[in-house]
Amino acid sequence: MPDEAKPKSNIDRLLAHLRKDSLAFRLVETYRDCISNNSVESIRGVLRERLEQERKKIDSTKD
Amino acid sequence: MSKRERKLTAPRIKSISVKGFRAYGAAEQTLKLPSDLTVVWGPNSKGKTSLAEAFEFLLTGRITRREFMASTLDEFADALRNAYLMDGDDVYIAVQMIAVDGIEHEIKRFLTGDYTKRQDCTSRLEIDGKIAEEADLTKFGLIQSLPPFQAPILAQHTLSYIFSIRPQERASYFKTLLEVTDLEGLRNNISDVQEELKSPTDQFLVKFDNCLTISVFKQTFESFLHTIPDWPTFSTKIEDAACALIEIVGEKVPENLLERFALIERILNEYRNKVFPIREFEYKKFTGWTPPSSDIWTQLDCYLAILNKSDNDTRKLCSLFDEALKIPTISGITESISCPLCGTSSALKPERVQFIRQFVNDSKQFKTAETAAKSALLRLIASAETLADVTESALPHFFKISTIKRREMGFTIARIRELLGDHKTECVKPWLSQIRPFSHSEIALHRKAKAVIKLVNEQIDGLTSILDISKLQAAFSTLEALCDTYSSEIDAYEIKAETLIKAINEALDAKSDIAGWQDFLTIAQQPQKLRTLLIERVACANVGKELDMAIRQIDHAKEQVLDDKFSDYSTLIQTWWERLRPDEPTFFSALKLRKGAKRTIDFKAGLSDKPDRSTPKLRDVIAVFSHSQLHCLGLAIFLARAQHERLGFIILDDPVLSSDADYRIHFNSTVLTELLKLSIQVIILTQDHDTWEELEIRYRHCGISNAQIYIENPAKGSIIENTSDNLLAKINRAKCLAHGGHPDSRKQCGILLRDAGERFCKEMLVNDQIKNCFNSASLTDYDHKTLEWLCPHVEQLLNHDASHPGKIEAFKKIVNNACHDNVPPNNSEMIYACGEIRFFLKEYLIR
Repeated sequence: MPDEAKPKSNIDRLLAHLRKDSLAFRLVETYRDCISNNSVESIRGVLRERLEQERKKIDSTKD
Repeated sequence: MSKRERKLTAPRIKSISVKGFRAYGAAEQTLKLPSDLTVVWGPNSKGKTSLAEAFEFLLTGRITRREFMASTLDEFADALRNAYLMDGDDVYIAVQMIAVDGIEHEIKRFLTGDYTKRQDCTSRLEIDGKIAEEADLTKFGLIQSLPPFQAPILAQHTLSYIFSIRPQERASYFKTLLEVTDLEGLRNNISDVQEELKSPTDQFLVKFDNCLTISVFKQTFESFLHTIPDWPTFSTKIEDAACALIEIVGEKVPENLLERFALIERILNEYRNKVFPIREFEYKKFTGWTPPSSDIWTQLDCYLAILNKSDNDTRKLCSLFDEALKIPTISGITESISCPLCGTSSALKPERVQFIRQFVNDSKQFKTAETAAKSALLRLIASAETLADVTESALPHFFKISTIKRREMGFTIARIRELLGDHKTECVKPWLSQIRPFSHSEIALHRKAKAVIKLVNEQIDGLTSILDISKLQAAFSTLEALCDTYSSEIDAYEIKAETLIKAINEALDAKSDIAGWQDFLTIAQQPQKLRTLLIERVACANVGKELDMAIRQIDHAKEQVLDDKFSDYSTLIQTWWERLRPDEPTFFSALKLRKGAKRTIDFKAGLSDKPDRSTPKLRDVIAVFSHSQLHCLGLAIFLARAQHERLGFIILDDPVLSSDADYRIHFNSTVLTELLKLSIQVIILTQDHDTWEELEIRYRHCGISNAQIYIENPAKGSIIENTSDNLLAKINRAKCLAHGGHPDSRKQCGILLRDAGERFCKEMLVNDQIKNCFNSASLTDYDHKTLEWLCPHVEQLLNHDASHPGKIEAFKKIVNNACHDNVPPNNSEMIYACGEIRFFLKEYLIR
């Protein structure tokens, strides 16, 4: 069976239903790419990064 | 093992060999599979199903018919080993296959123990002669579905299974469809991390939250719950808040920030004391006590040593002797003189004067030691007095005033309880219970200190007579132990008192309309820490909300994934259904997951009286489908599953019922053509001779192989005859293609003629060998020999006419050209070649 006819994985199907700029998409994508490693740590990494961005955003708020 | 040039996406089975399994006897039987499509004919009970089950056994080590057909499992005892087999005979099934790695392998499974009434069968799997595990099969592309039907075999019991079980139990058959454990794993991982993403719970933030009750801060501080201003603005707002607090009470706001904080502290205390004498809890911190140093005891020891050397009465004459020694005649004595005191002649000798001088010196040392001893004792008194003072001053104020005075001030337990209200009185009891031991330890210590002071004073008064150092040391040791006890008790008291004071302060602040002021003082003095914590809290809250939304989106998308999968699978089944039963008014409509039930699967049929099947009425298939339609749907589901799971090959055991001629034509034409297009290797076992013949004709162009199964002697078991290997069959098939209009047909004709030519040459050589008494000669002796090699060896045997060697050479050239990738052969060449090989067959082999 040619590669293009391969059935989609669940994760790929899931990604197709999520907006690419959403946190949900990033989490799922990270999980997919790190599935053989420590996926919890990868997800934690995404949130840590997101938290750091949020801290910086709040810290730089001008009154 | 031999290597092919390129890797495959699915394995190709080249042959299946069976020995001793169910209907098969002691002689190994082999079904050759040179083509992607093989059709095997055999009457009922001649070994077709045994062959299919042998293949299932090879892949899984068991057969599912036992689980689905036998009413009780023990009825399947001794089912696998052929009943006529001799003890010690092997039972096995083996396949030769080109695996996905492009290499030819042999997969073989031996039956080592048949089913018994209570136990499963046992077996040994070997790959290329080495023992292997089931999991190794996937490495070679032998994909197995999930239980219960793991092997790619369609049998009658497989067809009926899916409709004979309840909708809730169909989930196991469609497990791969419902399988979303990877998504559940993802969801669990995110939930785990979500638990960790909690807002900071620092007490500092609790104090900040308490400040929200201060009305003048409300607007400013509430905005900090969502937006944190930059540092200069933030610090200014905190300073402004301090000013606002002071202005509330009408005080002048100091310029200096620290002064503002001090003023707020003072205001706080004043407010509190107006309601309750909170200051009565105040006390001076107990800083500890240092026991007397060792030099004090050394000085006293020294004094005692000197004291013991001289007599007390003699020491009274010391001043008289001192004066006498000042008299020149005595001080300068060289010889005996008369005593100036008593006048005795020659009584005072130089030795006596020297003795008197020594005595005077000793007396002077004693005086010094005595002074030092008095000083040491005074230091002991000072030490004991210090201890008494510090312990007393460490007492809270309310300890030092009378009960009457306390009552007058309102410092009573009843008042404290009243202030705290019911919900906070639990901190009163621990405080009360700690007062008694604390008080007792202080009293004991104070009394002992006074007693020690009295003792030391007595020692000073009777210094030359009653000084008892051991007694003093014992007294101070007791004092030290009491001090340690006091220190422990005061620590314990402080813990309980702090909790109580905090609660009382909160109550007082609330009553005085100054609730939160104390907390403000704490946080306002560390504004940077406050801002950092607030940023952390707002960031956590924002990301937490975002994560909540992400999880909701993922959950929603997960449901859509299931819908998608069911829709895709449904479409696949519909496609196969339409290929089997096109344009029927009652048709398969959808495979559906029942709403609200996560694992209940329904098959829906559509009923429509319109040509375009618009607005169909939907019913469960069980309710409206005939037996034939259900059978057909079972086949469509199996084929959809094979396609969905990308199976490389399938075995279909009587896929079309004998009585069901309606859709046999669709199966033989459309369905098989589509399966071949999907590169799925298909093995059909059928009892219908017409089907066998029709398929042989219909798929001749793509080199269909065929075989027959029959039993001559039950003891010898089923026999497989690979009829497409038969020389005349090869020639007949080639003859049909030789007239074909399509170039591919003629090319296929050339391939068949080459095979036929090779077979002719091999049979000629074998016959010749046998004629020369080599009775063991066999066609397999010439495996892999081509016409290039065979023709020269056969030419000498073609001796009926001088033209025959030349004719076979010409035949070789024509068919070799036809097989190669140059210009396709024309019809006349192929018809001529067919005639030539048929002639040789009749002339030399059929006599």
